[in-house]
Amino acid sequence: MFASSSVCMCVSNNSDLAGKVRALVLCDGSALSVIKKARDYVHVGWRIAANPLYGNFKPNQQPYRTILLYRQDGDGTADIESLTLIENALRVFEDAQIVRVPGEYPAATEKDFRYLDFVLMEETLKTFGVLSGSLSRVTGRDSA
Amino acid sequence: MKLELLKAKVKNVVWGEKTAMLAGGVLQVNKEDLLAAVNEVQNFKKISAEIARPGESVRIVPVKDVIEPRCKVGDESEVFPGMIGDVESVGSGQTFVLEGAAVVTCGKIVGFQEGIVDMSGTGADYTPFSKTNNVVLVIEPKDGIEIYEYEKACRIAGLRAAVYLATAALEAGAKADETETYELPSFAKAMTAHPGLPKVAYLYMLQTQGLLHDTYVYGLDGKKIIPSLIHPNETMDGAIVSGNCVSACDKNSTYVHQNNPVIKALYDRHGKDINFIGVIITNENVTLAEKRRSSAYSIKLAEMLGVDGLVISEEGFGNPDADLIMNCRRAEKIGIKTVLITDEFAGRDGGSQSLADAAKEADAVVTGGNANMMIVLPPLEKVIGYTDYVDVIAGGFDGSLRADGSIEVELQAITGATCELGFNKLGAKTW
Amino acid sequence: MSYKIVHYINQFFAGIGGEEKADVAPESRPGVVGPGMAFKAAFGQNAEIVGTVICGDGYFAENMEEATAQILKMISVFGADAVIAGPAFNAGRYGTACGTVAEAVQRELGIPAVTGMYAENPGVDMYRKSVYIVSTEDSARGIKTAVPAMAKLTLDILKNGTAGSPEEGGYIERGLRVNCFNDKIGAQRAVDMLIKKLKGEPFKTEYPMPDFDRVAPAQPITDMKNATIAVVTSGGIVPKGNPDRIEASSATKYGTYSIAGVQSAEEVAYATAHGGYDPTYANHDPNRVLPIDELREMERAGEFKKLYDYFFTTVGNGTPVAAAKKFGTEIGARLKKDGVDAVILTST
Repeated sequence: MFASSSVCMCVSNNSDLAGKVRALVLCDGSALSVIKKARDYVHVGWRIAANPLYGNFKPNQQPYRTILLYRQDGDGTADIESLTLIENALRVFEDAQIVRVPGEYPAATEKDFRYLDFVLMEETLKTFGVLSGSLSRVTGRDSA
Repeated sequence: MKLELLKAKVKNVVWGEKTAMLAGGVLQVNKEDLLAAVNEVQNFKKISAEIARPGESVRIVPVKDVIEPRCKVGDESEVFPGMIGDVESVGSGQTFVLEGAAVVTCGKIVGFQEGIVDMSGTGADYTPFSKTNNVVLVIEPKDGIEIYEYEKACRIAGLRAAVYLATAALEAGAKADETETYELPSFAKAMTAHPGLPKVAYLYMLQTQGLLHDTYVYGLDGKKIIPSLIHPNETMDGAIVSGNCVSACDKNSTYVHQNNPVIKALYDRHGKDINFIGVIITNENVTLAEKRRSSAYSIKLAEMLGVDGLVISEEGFGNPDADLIMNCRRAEKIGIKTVLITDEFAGRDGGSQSLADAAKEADAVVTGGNANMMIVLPPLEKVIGYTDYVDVIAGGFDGSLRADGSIEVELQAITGATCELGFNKLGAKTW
Repeated sequence: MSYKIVHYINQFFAGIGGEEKADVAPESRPGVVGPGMAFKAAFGQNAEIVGTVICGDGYFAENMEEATAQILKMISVFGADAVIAGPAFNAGRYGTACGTVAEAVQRELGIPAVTGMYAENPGVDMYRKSVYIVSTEDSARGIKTAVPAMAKLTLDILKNGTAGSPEEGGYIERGLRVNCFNDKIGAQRAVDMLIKKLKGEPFKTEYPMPDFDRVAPAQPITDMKNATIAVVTSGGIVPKGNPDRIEASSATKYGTYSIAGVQSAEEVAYATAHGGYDPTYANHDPNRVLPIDELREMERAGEFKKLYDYFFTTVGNGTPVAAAKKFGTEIGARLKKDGVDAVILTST
């Protein structure tokens, strides 16, 4: 469980998080590549804070993914719960026929997806004390 | 606690002078009065109402929520407590129901929103709301409001419309065609009632991942509750309201919360094959610590009740699969036998693993079907709502728009198609 | 109308010979050969076997990609409406070949293909998802029932465009989830199921959980400096010439070879017997699969005490789980007896 001595790292391909989340590791590519990157960290002792399959979007729909990792002194071997969840997520995304990459959709839809990705992780980011800003998404977005 | 549902059977809906039940099960609705009742809600630029009946060549999209018109009869409590009613407890006395009618809200909260209700054709076979006479509200927001405000406005508008219809019809003298009585005794009596019958409870998982994925209990955001007991009758009075807008096929609309079929089925067998003790609500948060807390707490409640068996229903897929499996393992570990209700995401060919998590303890599972299955929806004459989603499909998002106007989509786009409360006959088997 | 069918069989059913002729390359013959006669009878007026393509099982296993391409080319010449392969009964390599050919036919030629196998044939696990496999008996004695079933399924697919359910079509479950409408709604089915479960009566889950054969991880080594380490591979690394003739696929045995004093896998000119991956890199430097060089270095550096004097090897390609379990149990017992503390398992 998270303790105050924990160190956090947030792996994401959601550019809207820039400047709003501390310890952000922004990466390019698909949600799958974010999961793979997080998986690699899990193998060296990082734990995941939230289920990587958050949000009721099929993997072939949502191009964004944000995974918050944390570790404490002495964490060296993989945490089995984290590993199981990240491997399950990896399988679900690998099974998807389509892999979405940021930038494929019209700008307004992309913005909605980034916003949803953010708000679904918002509580978790807050709980772990890495949130330093908020996002807004308003109606009348076609002009966005 | 005892609740009587006074059900007037609605076989048709028409616009007319005064909102009232006419002979032959015709619900007549005064459109201006309906819109006036709804218009008290702020943040709308425009709101319009249309009727969609079973069998008509009508497509409603994107559907946000579906609500059954209900109101309390001569009672101080109000339906949808904490949402539009007061927060006093519900679930006893009498509730008037316009059975066979539904309010459907259409709101394009985000650009990629699904939620198709076809009143005829192939799609109609899969959505339960092709069988109801629907009053559809199409809700256009003011520009520049936060989208969670828009979601809330749509949610409240639908609830208000449902209460308005039931109240106005009742005041105009509508009579019940049928009365159903639901009653469970206090725990003190329940524990010694029906000796020899196994004690059974229902673990009711609510979608609570965040914006557009929320559920409300007495107006409280479900992700902030600790699992708790709820009387099954409270759900019939709208104690649980949906704020869930994504994954049309397996979101539990307010209508299915009001008519929870698991609760109905447990009542049906109560005193015959089982001793139905009560309902535990829990959530489906994303943070792992919250998951463990809710799972441990809800199974502890089941243990405190001393039940032998538990029906566990899920809402959504992916993240909640982990909660479902965790709940199952914890219950089975302490000797409580479980049956799970879920749906599947096994890929378009049905060849992928259906759930994101699995356990050998989960040996009794009921499925609402594979949501990735492709279906072809014929072109229909009229579309109520916004065609954006269809345009998105045309853009190759999630299916395809064919030259003849038919659309090929995954079952997931169809509202309520694979309902994980077990609302439908749809299931799946292995070929 | 009469459909045109091509039949794929191995060297044995073609009457060319047994294991000694397993290395024959693909060939094509017009009309029926061997069991094709039985199919001819079963099809009657509905379909005609226009040609038969034959390949030795050994040849196929050792040259899978090339053989498949050759066979496809031969099949395509006949302009057939469908392909039948086998039945292979319980023959592992033949089953794998039938499955590979059937899958390739469907994918590359876009026509249906049907095969037949015994339920425990390793080809079943490999191809049940993509190919219709009629369930047969475990030996050629079952040909009398296998042929009419395969013929019927082939005709059903050609005529109706669908094979129906596994029961209707007589094929082995493909593991595909297919939607259906039940008599009762889900909630009633759930409560019915719970009542049966509570009463201890038999009930049937609607979604069988995937079968995980999980093994609890062993305790970590506490004293690595004094540990004896062994290496075991399913990557098929064998001494040159493959003295024990471990099969390229569907292995029926494993080999035990001494590495006492061996400093690098290259020294003994090991090569891979594995038929399921591109062997170029393994053959170029077998340490890539059997890392003796690195292990010796660590041994010298004192990171662990001793590299065990033997390595065990088999081919994981299409090897039935039951056979793999048997190998594993035997190897494990031997390692334990010889005081090995830990084992490194390499695959491909």
